[in-house]
Amino acid sequence: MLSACGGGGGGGSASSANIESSSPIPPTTDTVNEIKITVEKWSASSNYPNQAFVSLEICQPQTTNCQTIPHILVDTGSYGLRLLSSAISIPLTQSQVNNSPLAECTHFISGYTWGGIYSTDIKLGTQTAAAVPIQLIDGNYAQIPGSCSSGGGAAMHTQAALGANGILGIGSFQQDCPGCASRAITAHYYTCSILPCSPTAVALSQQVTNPVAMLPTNDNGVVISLPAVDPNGQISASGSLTFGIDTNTKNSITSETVFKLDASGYISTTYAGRVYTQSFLDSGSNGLFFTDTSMNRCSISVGFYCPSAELTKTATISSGTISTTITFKVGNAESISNTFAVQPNLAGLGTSFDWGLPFFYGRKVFVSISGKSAQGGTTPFVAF
Amino acid sequence: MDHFLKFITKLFFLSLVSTCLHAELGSASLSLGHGAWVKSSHALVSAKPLLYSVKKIITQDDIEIHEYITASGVVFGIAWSGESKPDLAWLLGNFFSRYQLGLSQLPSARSPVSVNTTDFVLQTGGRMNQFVGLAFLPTLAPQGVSITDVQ
Repeated sequence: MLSACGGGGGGGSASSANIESSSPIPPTTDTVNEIKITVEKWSASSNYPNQAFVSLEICQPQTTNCQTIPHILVDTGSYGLRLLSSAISIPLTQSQVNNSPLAECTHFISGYTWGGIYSTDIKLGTQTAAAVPIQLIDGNYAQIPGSCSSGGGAAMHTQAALGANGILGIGSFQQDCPGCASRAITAHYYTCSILPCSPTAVALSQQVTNPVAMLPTNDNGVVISLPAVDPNGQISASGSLTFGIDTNTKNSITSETVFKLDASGYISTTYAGRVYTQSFLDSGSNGLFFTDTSMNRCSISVGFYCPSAELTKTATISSGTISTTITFKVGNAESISNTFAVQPNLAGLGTSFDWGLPFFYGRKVFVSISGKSAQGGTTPFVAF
Repeated sequence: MDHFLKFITKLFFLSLVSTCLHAELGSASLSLGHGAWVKSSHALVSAKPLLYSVKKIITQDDIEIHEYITASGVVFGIAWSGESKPDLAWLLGNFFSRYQLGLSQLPSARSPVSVNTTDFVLQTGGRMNQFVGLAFLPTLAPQGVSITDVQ
């Protein structure tokens, strides 16, 4: 029993019904492009478990003035790159809308980031995404609008609060606020020539963008590959982030099952007789989050489950007529060794079924990008 | 200009709020006391009409809020979903500090906020551009109604 969520190694015990057979795709000759993922605790102040990190090099556009930034969180639940402004030493130019500097308030599951929008070249492995709009996270930029902070949640403007130097959003969409293209939406984009900053609409081309979608090739998605891990947890783990889907032998969908996402990017998960239609795979969530009132909650970490003994649970992921049953373990969140970055049995309470990083251990997970084409299926889809 | 007018309208209503009906979780419907924030509101069909009514509110920010209201007009449950998170200080009223306490107890920034106490239960979830949550007051809910009724 090596796999985090599955049982048997190599991807979990998926007893499947109606699995779509995907015939092996003849690989094209595109070069394999991948970078290393590390799950580790790396800083006394940034000690969250189940965080998958990469290092990225960014450059002042069209120059060789570059800098490498380590410990950027790999997040399939968001879109676009956000970096702590304090970690950046190269000069970048802030984007403008109507001659007014552009900033963004970005909400995540339990916190938010605020800061200006800048253009940068991003090296993803051997390829470069040029002039990508990114956010530089800076709590001191202009003035955080009240409508940004009023959503509640923690301000994530320091390495300690963010638990990382940045977030690499590589989910199934290209831009981070499609709705903002036609109207100003509170707590998204703002222009800041006059304080307080005011909400603004922003063209898609100026929005913070999933850099994978801007690669010259291998731009239709990613493959996240993490090894099977000790079910009781371990100090660290390493795997790979491969760019492109079905563009070479390394990133081809072979034995995996393809799940088409709905227009909002969701799959469906059935757990304990209840169907969660807004379910998703999110490498940036550090546990599996769902509702089970029969399990003991932790007394200190109240959002997490603390069963007296480890429990084995099953849930069914489905999309249309395709479905697969996932077996996973729920451990006592407060008894897992704090030295372990890899905690495959970490689970807590959530309103939808959020398959966080524990799902990814022992699996090869394909995340395709909406609007791009892939041989394995109609985008957007996930496959595992 | 439109924003400016909205801002002025907001200021106007802010000045009225203290004299308005208290409208938030545990009190009256938000549609009664916070007109400036409400774009539309109408009744939904209640699954248990003898026990509670349900009101659907769309805010100016296009956040959908479902209020669960007792026969005497007290909001005992709220569910929300939207591209942005709602103003929780406004939505939760007196219970906002309990949410903040729950937030401060989170062991990481990578997980949803939840609160589970005898008189106040809160669950949140979602991801970028898609946020959901619900709040429930067990002690004010009619007998036979549980948090699973709030959707």
